[in-house]
This record gives sequence, C-alpha cells and structure tokens, in this order.
Amino acid sequence: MGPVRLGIVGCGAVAEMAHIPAAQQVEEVRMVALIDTDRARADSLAARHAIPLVAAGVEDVAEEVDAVILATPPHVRCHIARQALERGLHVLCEKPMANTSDECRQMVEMARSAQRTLAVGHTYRFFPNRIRSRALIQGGELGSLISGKIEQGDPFSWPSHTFYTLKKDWVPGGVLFNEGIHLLDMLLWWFGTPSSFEYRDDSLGGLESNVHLSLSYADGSAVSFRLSRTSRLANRVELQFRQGAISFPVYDMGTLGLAMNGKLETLVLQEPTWDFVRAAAAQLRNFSLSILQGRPPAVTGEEGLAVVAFIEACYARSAERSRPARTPSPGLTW
Amino acid sequence: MTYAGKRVLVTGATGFVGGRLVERLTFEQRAEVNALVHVWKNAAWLSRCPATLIEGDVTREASLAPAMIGAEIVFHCAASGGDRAACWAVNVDGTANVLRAAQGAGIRRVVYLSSIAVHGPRLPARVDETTPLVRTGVPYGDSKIEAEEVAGSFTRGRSVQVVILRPTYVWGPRSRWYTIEPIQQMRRNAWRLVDGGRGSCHALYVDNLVEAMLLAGQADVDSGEAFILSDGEPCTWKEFFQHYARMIGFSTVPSISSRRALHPAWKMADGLLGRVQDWFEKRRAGVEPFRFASRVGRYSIRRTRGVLGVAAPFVNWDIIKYGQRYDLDLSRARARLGYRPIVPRSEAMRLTEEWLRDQRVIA
Repeated sequence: MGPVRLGIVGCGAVAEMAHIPAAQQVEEVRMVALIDTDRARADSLAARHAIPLVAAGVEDVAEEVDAVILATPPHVRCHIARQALERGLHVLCEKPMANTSDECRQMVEMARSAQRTLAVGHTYRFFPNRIRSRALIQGGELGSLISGKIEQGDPFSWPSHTFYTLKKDWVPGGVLFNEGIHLLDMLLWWFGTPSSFEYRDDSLGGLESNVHLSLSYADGSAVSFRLSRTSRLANRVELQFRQGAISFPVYDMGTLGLAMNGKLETLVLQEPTWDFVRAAAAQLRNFSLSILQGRPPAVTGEEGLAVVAFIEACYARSAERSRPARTPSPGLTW
Repeated sequence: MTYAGKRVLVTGATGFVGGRLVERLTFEQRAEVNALVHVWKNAAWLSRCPATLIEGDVTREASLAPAMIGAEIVFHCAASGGDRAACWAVNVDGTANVLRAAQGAGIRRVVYLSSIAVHGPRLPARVDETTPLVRTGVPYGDSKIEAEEVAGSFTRGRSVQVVILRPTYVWGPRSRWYTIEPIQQMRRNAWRLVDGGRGSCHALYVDNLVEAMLLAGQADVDSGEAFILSDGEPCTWKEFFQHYARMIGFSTVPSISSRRALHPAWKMADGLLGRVQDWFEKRRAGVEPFRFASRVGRYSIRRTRGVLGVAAPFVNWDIIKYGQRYDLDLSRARARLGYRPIVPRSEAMRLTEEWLRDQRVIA
C-alpha cells in the first residue's frame, strides 16, 4: 500500500494551523481533499496549499481518500465518523472525540465493526517531555506518586472561525471539555482512573471558565488541577514522587525538569524546540503507520471515550450542588 | 421586582457591567436573556451564563433586530472609550440604532447606561440630576451627552420608554479602570493620589449598579428620566485606594499635586522625559553594556519624573476628577427607583479582594 490518501473534514483554525502543515511533513500520507460545508473557506485553503480536491461531504470523496481527519466541532463528529467508517475510511478524530460518552461508544463500536482505525487527536501525548515522563513513571524510577499540582490558564484567545467552544448549544462544557481535556487525558494515561475526585466550577448554567479538580488515587496520592479561561495561571505541571519529581510548563514540548537521586536537572529532549505542527505531524505519522501496519494507534477510540466519560462525571458532580442564594462573584468556583 | 420568564436583551454583554447584569439576570432572576456579542474572543465570562448569545454590533442597526425578537426590555450597556470616531460610532450612533431597533421591535423599555461623565470633571459642591451637562471636548464625555440627547428625543411620541442611568466610578470584580488598573499600577509604583487623595470618592460597586439597573427596568418612572447612582458611602479617594494598597501589602500611595500636574510647563517637561524613557524602553533588550546603560537611563528618568511630582497614569480629566470635593445626591434614585445599595463597601471590598486573588491579579 502506498501513502495514505488523506482528507481533512472541517477547515477551521486547527486544520489551517496544525493538520494541513503537518500533512506536508509526513511522507506516509498524501493530502488529497478538504471537506467543508463552507465551500469558499475550503477552496481558499485548498488553493493556498495545492490540495487537489474540495468537497462538501465525506461521501463525495470516499473513493479518492483512504482516511480522514475530523477537525470539525465535536457535535458533528459522531455523524461524520459514521459516514466515513461506513465507506471504509480510517478516522483520526480531533479531541474531544464527541460531545457525549454515548456518541464516543457508538464511534468505537462502528470502527470495530468496520474494522477500521479510529484514533483520537490528543496531540499532547506526542510531546517528547510527556513521553519521557511516562517512561520514567512506568519504569518505576521515580517511585510512586505522592502529590501533584497542575495549572493551565490564559485569557481566552483561540483564533476560532466559529467560536463553538463558547457556545453551549454546540458543546457540553467549557474550559475542562475544550482545553483541560489534554492534561486530564495525560493524567489518565499516566496514572489510570482516580479512585475519587472533587470538582467545582464557575458555570452559572452555561459553560465553565474556571475549574478546581482534585483527583485522589487508591494509593493515597492526589493531584490538584486548576483551569481558567479568564486568568493567566502558572501553566505548569509539577508532580512529586517518592524518589524524585518532574515538572514542565504546560505548553512546553521538549524540556523536562527532573529531580532524581539528589540531582536537579533540565533535560532537553528535542532540538530544535518543537511546535504544534511537529506534534500534529508525529500524531499523523502514528495514525498512518497504524493503518499501513495494521496496529492500534497511540490514542485509541476507547481512550478518547474514557476522558469524555470522566468529564461527564465531573459535570454530573457539579449539577448535584445546591445553588447559592446570591450570584457568586465572576470566576469564583462554588 | 421580578424578571422570571421575561425576555430581555443586554448589549455590551461581554463587558464588565453588561456581563455582570447577565449573570444576575440569568442566575438569580431566571430571566430569558439575549446577550449581544460583538467580539467572540471576549465572551469567556459571558459563556458561563445560560443566555442566548447573539452576534451583533450596535453600530450595525440591521444586526440588532434578531436580538430583540421576543424581548420586553433592553439594557443598553455597549459603549466605547476610544477616540472621537469610535465614541461617536458606538456611544451616539449605536444608541440611536438600539433605540430605533427597539421601537421597531415593540420593546417596552430601554435602560440606557450613561455616565456621571456627562457632568464633566469639574463638579459643583452638590451634584444631582439637575446639575448641568458640560461639554469639554473630551470625546467620551461629549459623546455620552450626545447619546443622552438622542435618548431624550426618543421620549417624544414613541411607545418605547427610556430610562437613563448615570453611574459614577464602577468598581469591583472585572472593573478595569477602578480596580484592576489601579492595583496593577500601584504594584509598579506608578499609581498616584491627587492632592493627597482628599477629593471625594463616590464609587459604585458593580452589584449595586446592577441592582439599580434591575429596578430601572421595571420601576414606574417617566420616560427620559435620568438617575445618578453611587454606593452612597462617600469617602476620600485616599481612603478608597488605601483598601487596594492594603491588599497588595503597601502602606501608602504617593501623591501628586493637581496644580503642578495640570501646569503646561510641568506637563511639557514630564512629556519630554516620558519620550526619553520610551526611547530607553525600546532599547532594553540590546547587548551589554548598552543594556546596562538603558537600565540606568530608565531608572534615572523614573526617579526624575517622581521628583517632578507630576508623573501619573492620568489624563487631565482624571487629575481634575480625583481632586474634586463635592456631595452627591442620590435622593431621586432612592425615591423613584427604590434604589438601595445591596452590598456595603466593606463586604464589596472583601468580595473584590477574593476575586482578585482567585484570578491572580494579586498574589
């Protein structure tokens, strides 16, 4: 089989800034089609990047492509994944995989019966510092986790075309669902499902912009997680283990602060410094090789489902709270 | 007063006052809120509310009609503090657009958020709604007067009623001009009191303003009536800003003399020094020894401006405003709207400090 013939569904910011340039870096794929209901937008991107085909729906290019990246807003991903899988296409689905765990389950089931690859775009898993951290944790060199502190927050600035991440009729959640999902996925990937959690957010009935989440694990360790779309936080991951500690800035891909055996050092894992296009290219290469070699992708549909299901559990916890008498100050979680 | 089940439109909903109004309308009042969004990027606060977010712009009248469908009341909070063109486009023409669209949509009442700025920065010893409106040539104040006149013209022979609110200096969580900016400047040692901070401070906590807005939406008042609003807890600016200084662990706030700061010769000297300072600022990232020289230059100029005693992040309007001593009469708002501040100053300061720490504005 030659290079994977690739189509991208959804021509918004992430397609333009990450997936299209990434596809040009991966020799295992050939970018052949852009698919979007906004024809003018798709035409303009296709012309700029010399992509031969433009279509309004997956069904129009099903014969010309082997796989698609779903870079649409999440509320239509399940529907489009069905169209693609039924036509025998492999699917790399942006995160969050879908708006509900039920939709995610359907997608996993569809991929299984179609015998096609379903990968989920948790791109942060391809950052060299995340990969090295996991190897250190899994290898037992750091000992067991004691505690962790994670903060991710900046005033909202994603250059979206639709701003769907701010619209409750498009997405079920705010900062946890759209931004925090990366780090939450990382924690599930490294430490598995926590035995219990506490969750608070600042939603007044809309989408949350500030979150406090604390995760407790069966061995007594705990990780506190603070997220914001309205304020600039430390944007750091700090984890303390029995025999060491790791830390790195949230958006840093290639360096890792490591304290082990009485030594404190900063490992530089990648030169030159990675960017999101390189990370998206690593993800796409993994996806295409999983198709060509018939092995599971780095992030499976089941893993994409697990993090969406966990977020749903957080929102359910939030919905159980009693309302304060007076409207809380903006941003304060309650 | 109840808004439960009533549909209202809020313009300027991504902003500080409009945003808080939407929070209280949806969360406490259970109103159905159409929230006008001009710049989506700014909607992260607003998106927390179960409001219907509708893209629109007060400068484009056609974009307002969809947002008014089914609404009974419009709270018009959108405003600009930019240059003359922006102030006129948003504050004057935007208000005319909102009122025309409201009339066309059969809206019962428009609550228009004006400003104490319509009375100018120099105020008489006692200020109430009959105090003259003063044009000064400053775009913001003049455009707010013009907008009130536009609103006034809509009270004659139209079905839509207009209520005009003139809030003073609105502070609290998310207040850029009277909370965040002063604190950030104080931390950089760049904030100044004027004349020792003896001027009268009639600040207005955002939730007290929102309370007045909710009352104004339903009170039995005449169309075109204007209401001045403050916390009703007058103090000096020194006392007010001292609260912020305490929050960041400062014991005092330096002061400038308004006489000097407004004097053309001092202003010119300070302006020249400011330009030299900017020149050094642009060269701060160079190589040694120029980097060191730039640092010494910046430090020296900062000190010199400090000794001159005029450097402050203020325009003339602010210098005059912070030096004024006057009483503010709230009796019309109390009598006609039934306005009573719902959050006392001490509690409002506590809530604001909690917010500032939570949002990391202060450590």
